Amino acid sequence: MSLHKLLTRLIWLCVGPLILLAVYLAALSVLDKQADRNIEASNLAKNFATAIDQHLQARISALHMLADSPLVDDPARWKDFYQEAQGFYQGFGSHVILADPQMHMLVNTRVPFGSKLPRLPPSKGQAAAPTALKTGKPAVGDIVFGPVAKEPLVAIAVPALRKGEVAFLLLTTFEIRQFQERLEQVALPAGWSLTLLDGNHEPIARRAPLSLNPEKDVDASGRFLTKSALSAWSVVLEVPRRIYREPLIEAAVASGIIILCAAFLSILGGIRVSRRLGKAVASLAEHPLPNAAPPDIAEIAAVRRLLDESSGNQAQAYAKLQETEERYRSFFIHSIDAVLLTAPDGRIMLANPEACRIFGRTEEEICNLGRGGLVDVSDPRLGPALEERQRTGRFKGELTMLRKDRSPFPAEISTAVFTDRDGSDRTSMIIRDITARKRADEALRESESRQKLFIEHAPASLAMFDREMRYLAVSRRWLDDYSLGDRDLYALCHYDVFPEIGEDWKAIHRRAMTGEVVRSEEDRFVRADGRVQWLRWEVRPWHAADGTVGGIVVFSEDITARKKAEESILQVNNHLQYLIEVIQQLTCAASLEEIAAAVRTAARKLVGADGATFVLRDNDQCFYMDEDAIAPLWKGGRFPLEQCISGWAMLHKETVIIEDIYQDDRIPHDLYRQTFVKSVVITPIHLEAPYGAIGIYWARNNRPNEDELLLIRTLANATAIAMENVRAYQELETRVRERTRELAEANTRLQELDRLKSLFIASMSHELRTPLNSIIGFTGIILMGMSGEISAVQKKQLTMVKNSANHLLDLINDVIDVSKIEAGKTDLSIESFDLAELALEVKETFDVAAADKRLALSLHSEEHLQVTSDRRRVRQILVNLIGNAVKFTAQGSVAVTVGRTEAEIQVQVRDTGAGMRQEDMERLFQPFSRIYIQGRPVVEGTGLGLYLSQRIAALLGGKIAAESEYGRGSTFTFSLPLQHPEAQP
Amino acid sequence: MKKVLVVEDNEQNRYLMEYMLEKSGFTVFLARTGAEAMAMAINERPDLILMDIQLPDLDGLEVTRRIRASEADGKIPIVAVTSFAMAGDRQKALAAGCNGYIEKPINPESFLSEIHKYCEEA
Repeated sequence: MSLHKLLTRLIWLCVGPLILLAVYLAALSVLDKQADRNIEASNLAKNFATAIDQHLQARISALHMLADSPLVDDPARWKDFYQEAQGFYQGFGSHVILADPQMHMLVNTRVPFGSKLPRLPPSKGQAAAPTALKTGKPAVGDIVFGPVAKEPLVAIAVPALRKGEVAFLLLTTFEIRQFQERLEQVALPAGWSLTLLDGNHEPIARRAPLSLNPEKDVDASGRFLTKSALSAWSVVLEVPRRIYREPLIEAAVASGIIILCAAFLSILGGIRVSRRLGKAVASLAEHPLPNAAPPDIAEIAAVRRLLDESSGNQAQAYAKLQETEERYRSFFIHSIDAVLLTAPDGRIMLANPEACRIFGRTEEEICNLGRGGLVDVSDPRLGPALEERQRTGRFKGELTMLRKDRSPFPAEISTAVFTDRDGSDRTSMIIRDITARKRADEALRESESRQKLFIEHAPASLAMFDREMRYLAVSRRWLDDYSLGDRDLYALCHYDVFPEIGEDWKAIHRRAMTGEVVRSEEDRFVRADGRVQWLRWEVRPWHAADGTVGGIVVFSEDITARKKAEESILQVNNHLQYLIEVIQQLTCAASLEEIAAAVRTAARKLVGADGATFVLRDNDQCFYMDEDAIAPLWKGGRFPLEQCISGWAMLHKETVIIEDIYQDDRIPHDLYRQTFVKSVVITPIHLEAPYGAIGIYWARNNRPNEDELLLIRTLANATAIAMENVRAYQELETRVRERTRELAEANTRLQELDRLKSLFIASMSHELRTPLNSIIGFTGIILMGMSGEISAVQKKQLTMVKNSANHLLDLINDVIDVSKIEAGKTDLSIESFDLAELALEVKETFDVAAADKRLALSLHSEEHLQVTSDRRRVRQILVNLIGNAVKFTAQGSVAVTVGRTEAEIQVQVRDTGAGMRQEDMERLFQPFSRIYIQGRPVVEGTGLGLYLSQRIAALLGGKIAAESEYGRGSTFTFSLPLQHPEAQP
Repeated sequence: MKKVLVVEDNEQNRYLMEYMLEKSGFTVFLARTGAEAMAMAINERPDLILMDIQLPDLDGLEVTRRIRASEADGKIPIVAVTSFAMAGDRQKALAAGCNGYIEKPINPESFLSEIHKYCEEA
């Protein structure tokens, strides 16, 4: 059942009783109402009745009074009575009648007094008068038709008792109409009917809806009857059924509606809430939408949160579980070993891919096969393995397994028993195919044994040790080298075999154990027996198959013999080296003293001599050039050749070796006794014609060996050469001195000459120019008019003087220039300038002269040509060349072209002058050469121009070339480097 | 009126320069020797000194040097008048402190414009 239904039912259950209760209460209320109504009605009727009664009573009382009035008794007084009765009528509004017991009206206020009065009318019911008469009490009569009134009336009759006998009757009549009016005044609810009935049940007054039919419309419950206390009248209130019921129905309906509404609302409300609740609760059962708002009912929201949390937790836990499972699964699948999950009875539940690969079967096959199908049952290790596993719950070891093709392979197995989650025993088996490993092990073993064999037979001293320095293998040589004979050293500790091994060696062994290779090319050892041994050794670690250091291998080689040989070679080497040095020294020696010193030191060093001398020959005598070890008493002395042993050596042209001088007669023993000398070797210098000898002395008996003799001889030869060198050098020196002296003299003379030249030039320059200063100066002044007016003739003449002076100056300048150049004393002022600009400038100075001769003087040049040279001198050349061209061209043109190549400028001056003959061109650049042109006067000039230009050009690093065609013209080309060779860049 | 000190031992040269300069409107002082030159340079404060290099007592360049040494400020332009013959004469003159040089024999036409140039530069 759904919550909704449950809740609905709940609501019904809650609401139902309430509804019933409500209905009940409504009913009660209705009934109450009804009762109220009834009461109301009855009260109404009663009240009316009471009112009527009071009304009647009032009249009755009044009538009583009247009755009691003595007026009544006396008919004569009936007029007064009439007046009183009128007062009654005015007061009460109803007429009075006085009647006798015979029912005759005596007085009637209705009509004027004295009128004929009828008999009292009978009534259908009980008439008042008779009743009153009869009873003697007041009586209220039923409806009568008043004969006087002529309308229905009711009467009240009050007997007037006289002596207890009814004497008269007093009646008052009411028109029914009165009652009707009264009735009308009653607050009567609509639809009700109120009737005043007389004793005959005839309606006196009636108020009722027109349509009312008492028989039909009113039932007994709607009729309320109240009897009058005073009369037989009654008041009947009739409530028509419909009306009677109407309020009830209304109330009922209203109640019903209200109840229904309430019920409806509450049910609706309830349903809504229940729906909400139902939804909220239902939502608990569903997964929430991602953005759904939490349920608005706090408890449900809490539950939702809890649910979410728990579902979250659950999800997390699940995820973790998944992850873990994944991991395990992954591990299982990716394990590089075969992994099987089996039951103890041999069933296989799971096999990983590696297992499939090793066995060559699919997982299904493996599982179907069971353990029995995988293990080689003939393997004797299987039983004990299973037993162990049984006992301890695990087993690790090697077994033979079978592949799909029934081929066996060795495997390493590791199994463990564990209890599964659901309580059943399981075993995990990890299997590794160790075929390869086994093979490797086998190979290693083989190689190790080979290695051992190899070491044993190695042609070197080898020993292999383990980590504890126990012998694992040793070569034959080792045993021999260390004089160990045939001992079996296997497993013996090295330090036990050689207890003399020191801490330093042990340290080396330890180092090697750490992986280091330690070696030495040579090491000196003192053996236990005192022998000195030189060893070349190497200690290096060897590695086991697993890469760790298994121990060390020691290799050693006895190099004592080699060492000795080396040493002797070294020594010889040293000697030779030294010899070379000495020879170098000797060749550089500049004096006999130097030679002697060198020889002495050499002899000591080379042959271990204690002393050495130089003996020189002087014709027939020999003398010691110097001694250091020999007693000075011989220094400076000369001995005849025959007498001294050196002389003997020189004479015989051979080396003398005297091991013990005292055994040799050639030595003057007595003389030598004063010295330390015991052995001597004398070797002549310059064997072919000895002019000296080297003497080498030992303080002990010594005989030099072959090598030493060779050294000594070499030394002697070198000395010979050195001595000749010295001689030659000394000669050379002398000549050089001479020469230098001569040169110095010459130099001095030259310098003197140079000085004179400079002086000449300077003084010439100065002396020659000074007078010209005056000449040019003053003529200039006068010509400029500074000294006053001059005549034309004076001007002409002075101009000539000035021109001559200028010419003279030119000559002087040129001559001085030439001298300077010849003396090499030109100074160049190198600077950077624009050659093109200079060319233009020079050209412009000749414009006038050219124009005078009607020559076309042109200049073709680039706009700017920067060169580094001596501007003044270049100008000089340009002036010379262009000037010449203009001078020597009678007609035509002079074209100056300035061009450049990469490194030089070329100025070409081409004229259309007379040209030159070949033979003239040869003399062109010579000083003071003039070219004579036939029939033409000798042109002015110094004759030095071209010569100077060429020399200057050369100084500037350039040159001038000339070309000419006789009769056509000439071309002079001046080339100048862009940068003067000596210019600073 | 600009003052020029002419230092020259040769009488004719002296007269030549004096004549030219006076005709051109300069006031000319003459010195024959280096010593005279020094004294006049200090006393007269000329606007220009024309220094003959070849002087009897002191070498004109030495005089120039001494004048330069004695000057505190406002260097007087000194122009060497010389018949340049030897290498380095030019350099020596400039090194001694000369502002320039004029070669002998003097060219009267260019002489005056040169003088004016050196005076202007002052």
